[in-house]
Amino acid sequence: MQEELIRKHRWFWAWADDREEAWLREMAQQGLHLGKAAPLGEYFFVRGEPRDDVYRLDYVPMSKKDEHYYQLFKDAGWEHVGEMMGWQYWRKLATDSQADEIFTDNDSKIQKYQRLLAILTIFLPVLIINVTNMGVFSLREKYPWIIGLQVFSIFLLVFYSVVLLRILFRIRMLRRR
Amino acid sequence: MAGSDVRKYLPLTESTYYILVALSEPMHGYGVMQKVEKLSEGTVTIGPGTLYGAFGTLEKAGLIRMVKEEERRKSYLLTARGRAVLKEQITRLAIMNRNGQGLLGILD
Repeated sequence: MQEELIRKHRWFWAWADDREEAWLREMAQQGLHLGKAAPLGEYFFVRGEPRDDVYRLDYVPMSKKDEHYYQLFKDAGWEHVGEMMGWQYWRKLATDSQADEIFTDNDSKIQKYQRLLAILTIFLPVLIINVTNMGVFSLREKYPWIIGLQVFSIFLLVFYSVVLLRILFRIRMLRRR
Repeated sequence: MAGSDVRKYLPLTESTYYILVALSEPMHGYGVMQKVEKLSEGTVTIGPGTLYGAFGTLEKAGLIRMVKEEERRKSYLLTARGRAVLKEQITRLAIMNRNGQGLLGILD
């Protein structure tokens, strides 16, 4: 019998990945088990018996991927459910103890967000150059579509900066603990 | 008195301390997790994400080195520097413990 995949859409903010984890657990308790995650917040679930699974997200960019990482998690009883743009989805039957955590100290939680920040920061100069270039161009040539594009890239830059700041803020909160 | 190259790593966090203690003999990741749980009598649990990161950090700092790799599992062991750091930490803990033991009776 072909397994039916149930598609759900949900935006998830990089600095609030714990909310994502809680949502995936709720879905599993209702019998919807994550089968695959795809970019732009697309989730595919497989319907089955309700099960109390904890889900944990780690961020490991492509360049840092290695087989020892996956083996260590598997040895510790975690199942790799999927990957979405560097986010690793892990799941395990809930025990409501420390064994439900993949990160058991503050330093490693901070390091996760630092890995994310390092990747996101790479694209910041590109966005800034894009906005500046188009600014110069749109002053010279007054085509409405160029102005539209300019507004769009400024919006993108602002959005991007907010994301970076929220992640920085999250790191600061973790440092204070 | 230990050199500054040893002191800069001190004090170790509880997790790091137990990881180094476990690596006084060659051991792979999951082995370390189980040993720490046992040694600490269940007071310290190390998750795989934390341990994977710690292996990288400690190897870079030259406190541990990889000694074996089989079936996608790496085994690590303390280096000379790692042993020196652990020794200094144990000495400090012993001093702290001596100071505390005398107080145990009167703190209740």
